Amino acid sequence: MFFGVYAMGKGILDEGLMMFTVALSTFIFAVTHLLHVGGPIQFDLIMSFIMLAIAIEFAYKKDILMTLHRYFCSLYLLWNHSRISKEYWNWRHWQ
Amino acid sequence: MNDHEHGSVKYGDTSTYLSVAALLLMGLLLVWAGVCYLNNIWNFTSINDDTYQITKLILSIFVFISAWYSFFRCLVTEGIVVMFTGISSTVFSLGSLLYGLEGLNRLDALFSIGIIMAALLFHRRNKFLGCASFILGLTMCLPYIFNYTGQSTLMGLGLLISGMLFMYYSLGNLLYGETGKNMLRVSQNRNNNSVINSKSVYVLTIVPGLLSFALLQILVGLQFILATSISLSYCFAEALLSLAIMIFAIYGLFKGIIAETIMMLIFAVSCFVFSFVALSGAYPSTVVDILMSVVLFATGFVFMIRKDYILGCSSLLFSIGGFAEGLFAFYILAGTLIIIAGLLSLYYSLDRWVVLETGYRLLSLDWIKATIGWPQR
Repeated sequence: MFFGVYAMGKGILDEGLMMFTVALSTFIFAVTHLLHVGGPIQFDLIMSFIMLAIAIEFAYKKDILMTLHRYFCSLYLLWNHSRISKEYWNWRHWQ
Repeated sequence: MNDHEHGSVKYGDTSTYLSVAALLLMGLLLVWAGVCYLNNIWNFTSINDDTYQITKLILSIFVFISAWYSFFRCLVTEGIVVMFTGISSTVFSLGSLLYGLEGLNRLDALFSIGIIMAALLFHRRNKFLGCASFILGLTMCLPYIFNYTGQSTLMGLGLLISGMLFMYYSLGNLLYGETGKNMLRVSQNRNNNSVINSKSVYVLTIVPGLLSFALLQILVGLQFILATSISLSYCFAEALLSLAIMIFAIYGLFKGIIAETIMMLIFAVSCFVFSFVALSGAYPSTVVDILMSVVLFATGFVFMIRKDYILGCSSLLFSIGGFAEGLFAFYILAGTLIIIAGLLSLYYSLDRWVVLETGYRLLSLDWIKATIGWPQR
């Protein structure tokens, strides 16, 4: 997070924001697990949209490797959310 | 670093950093709160209440810190919105996690004054931010004003929509800042006033500092009149708000602004001591309030000699209110006087804020016309 904030402060916005958001999400997960409450899976869903936006930024800058990296990270977070939340999803509610 | 590598971002263009960092974090916090509010009603997924509160608490601490970054870059309006959202959310989460309490609606309603004012000021230079702030302000004040069915749904939707708008704005800024392409068609805020000089130090102390001070005064006055006992949510709110005021006051004091900062500091210390003692389970003493009133009486005279009549009247009324509460336990009288003093301070800080952003006075016809989009000659 400190590296991310420092990078953003020096004008390296995409990379800084990428580092900061991933670190923030991980930090929140670590704290919630240390306190023995479940991690906020739904938070991943929100974060995946930010990852997708960052992937678009990298695509604009023609940085193919980082674009793919962020794109798959976004997909992973989306998949992770859907996989775990299915266990809790109240299908009957929707039916 | 060169401009080619980093799009249109230039070194020192702090508005871009702020838009991306602080508003994105605030957007995340609001979206998270909105999703969880709606989930409580519609139950579309399973979110543990402790998980929700801990996530919200961590996010709000980061939001609170990023507000200070924006203040010390002289982005006052953005900073006020971010700071109030951070404090409100921290109070809610801390109260819920530690004592299972609800948030303090009265505090949110007071914060909404600042946020709606910020929305009006944003509206002049950036309609997108203005709209997002206005929805947030309305969402925060409606539960206190009206008690209606479907309140939680509207709260959730309001938080979700305003959060998404803030996130959209900050990501649009990121795209613009990095690539120079305004793909999302978000109007840019290039308010690059990051040079701190003697005038901006005064503004930085008076606008957010005195605004927080005025809101705390009104909160304390309302507590004297309306409440029958000291709630822990109120203590959390008082402690956090007084902590913020103390930071502004100490900053102003070191920069040579004496009377205003002494007034703010002594009240903030008194409130902080009160809330700390109440939170630790003891009964707070009124001795600090009496000492505070003596100091406020002196600062009131200083303001009167300086012909600063609004702040002078505010300080003197506040002092009399403090004596009425500390010496004679006249709570209704004390509360009324403190609320009047708070309203005077509120007017003063809002006036300085509007002058800073627009150059007009708060009650001038030109500013009202410009805000509502009335055609100017």
